[in-house]
Amino acid sequence: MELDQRLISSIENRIGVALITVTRIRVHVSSHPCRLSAAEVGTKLLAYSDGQAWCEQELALAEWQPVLDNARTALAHQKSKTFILQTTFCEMEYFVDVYPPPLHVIVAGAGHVAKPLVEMGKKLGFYITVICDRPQYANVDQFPWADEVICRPYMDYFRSLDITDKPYILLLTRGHQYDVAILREILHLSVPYIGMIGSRRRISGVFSQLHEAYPDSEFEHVYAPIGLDIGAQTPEEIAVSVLAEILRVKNHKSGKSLKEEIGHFIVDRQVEDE
Amino acid sequence: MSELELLKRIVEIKSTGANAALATVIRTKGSTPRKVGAKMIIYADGTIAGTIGGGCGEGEVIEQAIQVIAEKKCTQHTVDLTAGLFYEDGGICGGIQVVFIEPIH
Repeated sequence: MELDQRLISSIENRIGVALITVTRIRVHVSSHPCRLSAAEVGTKLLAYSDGQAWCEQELALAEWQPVLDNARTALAHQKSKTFILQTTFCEMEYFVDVYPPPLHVIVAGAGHVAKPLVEMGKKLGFYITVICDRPQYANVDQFPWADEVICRPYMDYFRSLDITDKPYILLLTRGHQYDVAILREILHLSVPYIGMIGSRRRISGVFSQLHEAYPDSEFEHVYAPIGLDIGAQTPEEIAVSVLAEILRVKNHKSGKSLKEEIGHFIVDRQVEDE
Repeated sequence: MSELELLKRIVEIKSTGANAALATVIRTKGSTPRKVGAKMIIYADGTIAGTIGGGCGEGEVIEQAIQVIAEKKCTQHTVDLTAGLFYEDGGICGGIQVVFIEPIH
């Protein structure tokens, strides 16, 4: 029970954790016990990315080091996987189930697009922060799906931004002066994604104010205009386009139709020679 | 059902002492309905929470799980979807899923 509760609290506190379950043990030499003392099918351990491990039973954790290392690698790759440990006397199969922390999306601006975006983003499993300086918009009644709603001046928030969880930042503010001011605070940060909404004119206005002060390399992770090219018009459509772009960046994919990407492998209508 | 909800359900089962088992997809080959890590809780009466993909494969796992609950012993079950009912050249998905089933106690 205690292990389950630790696992749940790690997930709720956005701490990356891997759950190891022993799924099979084959003993080669019956006179020798399995080297990993006390291991049996169903034994569970937790491995945290910071190097900590936890188990309900008394296990010699030093012996489990190769298992814990594999679990941490799987957690880093965000991919659950089954491994096999071979020793002289036995073979142990174990499953590593990874619970990486959710992707953190910061939405600056609490307007029309933010609402459907937060709701849909929550359904995708993201952890979402809404930040806006206007109390009538930045409140939980307006954003019941948000994990955090912060009502503060943009500058206060972004100046002291903690980026250890590599947040994806969306600038959906009501005026380009806010975008320029926020970008001045965050352009140099090593975050995977900064998306900025706006017409071409607004965006080129923002960039022309910043280009002189920042090298081009600082703009590589800036996505403006924001979103994938699907002809989005309504706030809901724009939300889909933006979230699709976030997934594209997160998963390192092209964003093209799968038909274009792999369609030619599927459609294979070769006429056999008579 | 989210993973978190499923984990909370497991805690609830343990605290009430209900009889149930947990099935987890631990390995796949080819195209399968759910990926590695998919989970399903099976109660002693055969009702389920969560899914590992539905269809005949899930039925097999439920049967195995009821045995696991009775014997209180972990097992593995391989769901073979390569020989489908509807297509001559394989099932709708056409893969293999290895499922680890453990009693929740």
